[in-house]
Amino acid sequence: MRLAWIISGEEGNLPSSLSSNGEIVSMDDNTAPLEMPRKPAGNTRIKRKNSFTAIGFTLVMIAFAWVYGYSSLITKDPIELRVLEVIPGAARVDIEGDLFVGLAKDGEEIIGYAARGRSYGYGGTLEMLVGVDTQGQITGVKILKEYETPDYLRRVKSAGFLEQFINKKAGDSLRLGKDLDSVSGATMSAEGIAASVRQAMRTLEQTNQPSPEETRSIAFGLPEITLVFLYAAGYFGHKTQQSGWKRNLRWGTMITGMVVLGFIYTMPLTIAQIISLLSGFWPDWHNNLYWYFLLGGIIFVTTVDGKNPYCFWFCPFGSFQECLAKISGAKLYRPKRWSELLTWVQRGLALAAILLGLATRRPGVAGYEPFPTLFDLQGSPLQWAFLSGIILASLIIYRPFCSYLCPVRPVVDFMAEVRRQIKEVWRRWQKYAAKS
Amino acid sequence: MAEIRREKLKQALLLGFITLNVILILAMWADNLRDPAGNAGPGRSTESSPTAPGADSTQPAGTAQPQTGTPGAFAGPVILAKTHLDFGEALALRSRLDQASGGS
Repeated sequence: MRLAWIISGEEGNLPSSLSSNGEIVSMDDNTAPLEMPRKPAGNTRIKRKNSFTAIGFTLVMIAFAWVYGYSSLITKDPIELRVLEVIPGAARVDIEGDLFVGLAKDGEEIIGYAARGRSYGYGGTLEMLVGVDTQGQITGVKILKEYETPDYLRRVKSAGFLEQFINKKAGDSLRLGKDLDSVSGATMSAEGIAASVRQAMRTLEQTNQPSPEETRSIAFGLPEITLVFLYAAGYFGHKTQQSGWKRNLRWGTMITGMVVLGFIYTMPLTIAQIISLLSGFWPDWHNNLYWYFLLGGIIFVTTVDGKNPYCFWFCPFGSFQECLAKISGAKLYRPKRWSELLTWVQRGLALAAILLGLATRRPGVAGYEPFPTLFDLQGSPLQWAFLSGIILASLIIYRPFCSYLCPVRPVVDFMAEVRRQIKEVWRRWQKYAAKS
Repeated sequence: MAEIRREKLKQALLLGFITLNVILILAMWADNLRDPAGNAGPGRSTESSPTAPGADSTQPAGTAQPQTGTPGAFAGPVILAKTHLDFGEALALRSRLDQASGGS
């Protein structure tokens, strides 16, 4: 079986059979394992100048989008109208700190109460408004703020998850698997909503104390352990010079990543998570250690080692494409004439996704990766069309999504490039200091 | 000659594939930005709110008796604990709360 590869022009391990201009080459399984494809090195001075310009431009754009998104958050929220929606029959609303009192038309009789609760879903903070009648029975729930992937929220809605809260009472556990049915393919969103409703109920019950069940415990299980193992394997795999050992290790990490992080847990790295990180939507670490390990691991290894520990080592979707390539004998195809343009298209998509997510303050909106469609077998017709095209292309071209469309890889490349430039500036400064 | 034509065809197919996917991505973004409730925007609601079917204005307001003293039962929010209320406002609310709970 033959694989194809494009070599790294700078830091990659260059197999001896590769062409000198850094263009597409084919190689068999016995050559050295893969490295991140990069453009061939050109004129160093021009390249450095262009790199500085690109980095500066990207950072300015990101800063603008962040400020725009943040400033648009500071808007007056017509919360009273929403309270009326969750307390049927109320005509007036009195706001008393954290609590809302729904009053009848005469303004004397209390119809019910409402309160907000906040937790974390898949994309970031989730804020719910919960209304109860005077007996503490839930009369309405409403999502006030969310940063979820829209498709997940649609699943939650179409599964009637929100309706399950109606007529639940104060004192009910309001937990998935107990008195609430979970939503397949949107478990984290559903759990975030349930946790927000529980918090609102605590405010309404005036306990403001977490129940014994609600006390925070650190979630550390198979996904987290697997992730640590995969990062370690990827890091040491980069270091080793023994190509046979490296190749076997890489296939081991890829299969593990695809099965455990892909098909079992559906937790690959997405652009939405990167946008959440940039937006400041950092989830509670007790329940989201995986999130921190995943992003922290990428940042740490890229900063320390200057290499991408994720994409070509254990990205579940990348591994899936590579398995298809292994079966069909697909080769990487990257015409020299269009190589530059295709690189910039991919970078443009990544930047556009980040700007969109930051400007709307909804990271989930910007995601377009086909991961949930493949691993959860759920998605919109557009997502299915997208995935189908990529699967078909994977049988002909080696890793087409990674090579041309994935928004995560340009981000990791960007981090590595920033590191390289900082290192270069530091080296030049030291040289200058030694001379003077 | 045939090889050049074949290479050009391959390039055209690749560019077509990428263009099509970029269009699909743009369509996905447009779809994601579309708000099912018609009120999309930063930090704003995107969901309709389900409400209890029987709980409406036909229910006599304030007639329910909140239970107190039972673990897990709903005692009702203690609004008077909010210190920012002025005295008159607090008295009026306390009165309404008492009416609702049936107390004096």
